[in-house]
Amino acid sequence: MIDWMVVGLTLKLAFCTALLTTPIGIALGRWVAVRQGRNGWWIDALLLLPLLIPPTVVGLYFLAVFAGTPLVFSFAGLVLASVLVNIPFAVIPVRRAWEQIPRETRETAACAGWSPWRVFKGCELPQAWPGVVSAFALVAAHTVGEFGVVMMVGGNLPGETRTLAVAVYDHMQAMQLPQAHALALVAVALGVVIAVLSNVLTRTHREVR
Amino acid sequence: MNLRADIHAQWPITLRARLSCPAGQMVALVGSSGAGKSTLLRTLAGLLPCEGSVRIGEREWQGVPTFRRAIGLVAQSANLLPHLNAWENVAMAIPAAQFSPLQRTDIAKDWLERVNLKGLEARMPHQLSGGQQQRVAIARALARQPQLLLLDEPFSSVDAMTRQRLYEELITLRAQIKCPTVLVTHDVKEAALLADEIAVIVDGRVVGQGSADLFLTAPPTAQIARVLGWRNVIPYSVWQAAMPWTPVKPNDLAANDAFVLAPHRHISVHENMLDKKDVAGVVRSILRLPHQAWAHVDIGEMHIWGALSPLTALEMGAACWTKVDNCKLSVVSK
Repeated sequence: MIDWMVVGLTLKLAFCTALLTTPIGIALGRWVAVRQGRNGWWIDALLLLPLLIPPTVVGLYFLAVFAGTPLVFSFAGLVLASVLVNIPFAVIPVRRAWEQIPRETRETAACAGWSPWRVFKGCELPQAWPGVVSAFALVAAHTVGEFGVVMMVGGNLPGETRTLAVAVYDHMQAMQLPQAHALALVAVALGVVIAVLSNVLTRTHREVR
Repeated sequence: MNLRADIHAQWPITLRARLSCPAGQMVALVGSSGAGKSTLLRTLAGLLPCEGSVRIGEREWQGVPTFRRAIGLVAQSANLLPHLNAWENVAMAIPAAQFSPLQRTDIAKDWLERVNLKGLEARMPHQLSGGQQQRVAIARALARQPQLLLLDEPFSSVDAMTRQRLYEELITLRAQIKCPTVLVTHDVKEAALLADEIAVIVDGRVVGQGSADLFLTAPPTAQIARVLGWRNVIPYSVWQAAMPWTPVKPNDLAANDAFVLAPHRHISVHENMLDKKDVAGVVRSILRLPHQAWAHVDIGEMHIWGALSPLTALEMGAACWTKVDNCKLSVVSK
């Protein structure tokens, strides 16, 4: 009853998107938290833009830009579009996490002889770890449920771009309620698993602090 | 290696400061809040951009990034890395290129022992008290074998008893610190206790630097006296008009530029005239402290602080007599 190919593809898309978006979120979120000056409001607005416009519109512009390239209606294109849409979900928790790190801690590490890279790796990243995990989990969870961008950019190609949300929609359109409910249950289970994993991965950190 | 700094900066405040400190000595930067003490310290550390020169011995540090300067920094809060234990927080400052992991372990443990934290090496920062965290920060700064030690009000966030203990420990450690040390403090007593020299900073400028003993007993200018907590810094002309006698003024000092420094401990305020030289005044206000009471007295246009006699029943607005020990007066430039 459950189309495991759809579930597998959705997990693959969620994992790839989270894996690519989280480093981008770390770079942008850290930059916004640490380096942004007085005129940073427009950067904030720009980073939040994918949240403020409908995913179908993002998909439309994506198609307009990449029309005629192999990215359209392909898994790689779907990943790229998902990354663009999910950037705010990675930036926001990372930014909050970096804002919690006192400037003095970074400065003390620098005075202890740590290079900027070592300060990032050994001082900032361990302290911002919950934010990084949250970013990964949020992006993965949001990608599992993504519909508009997948429909616009990926089409609905089984085994290539047909994800869980699209499959549920298809089953509903065809009045195949048991199949739709089975996949919906899988989507809920995936959400719970992601939430639990995220909690477990940040628990040790909370205990230390 | 001596510290010689001549710094100009525009941000976050305008800074024009000259500072020097011989190796093994401690200079205390004293000034009011917002005068630029911490800014100057952060500039010395390379944490803020500046122009000019920061020399340690023959080496110019201007343009050298913070992590390449051999600096030990102890700030107001310990700023320990929360995911590292006490030992790791000290070892992080010991250069891995110069010492093997085993040596780093030994050095870190040795420094923790020197700051009386033996047995607490494995504790995480949240398992240490504020005073213990500050000790770890001191151990970390010294374990680096710094060429310049920077202390930014390191005792301001601990209670009075811990502060006293940390003073004693720092005084003991001073013998082992071979580099110049710059201490930022707004507490003149702390500066007097710990430092060899005092540098007074006003509005981003170092207006004077000299021996701590000299500055505290005989400040060279009225401005320095005010920063160091002198209460009676009175324009010479105002003193002349109010008092029947005047201390001798150096010939090269114009009356308009001269100020009389009158130590308030050597001025006493009484209900009755005790001596012919006593001057009549009116009590403006009274400050009663646990061991001493002080009166602010109006004498003509002049306002002067003096010690209130323990048995006196003087109240605000009452007529009083003021006795000034002439020998303790001095005249300085503005």
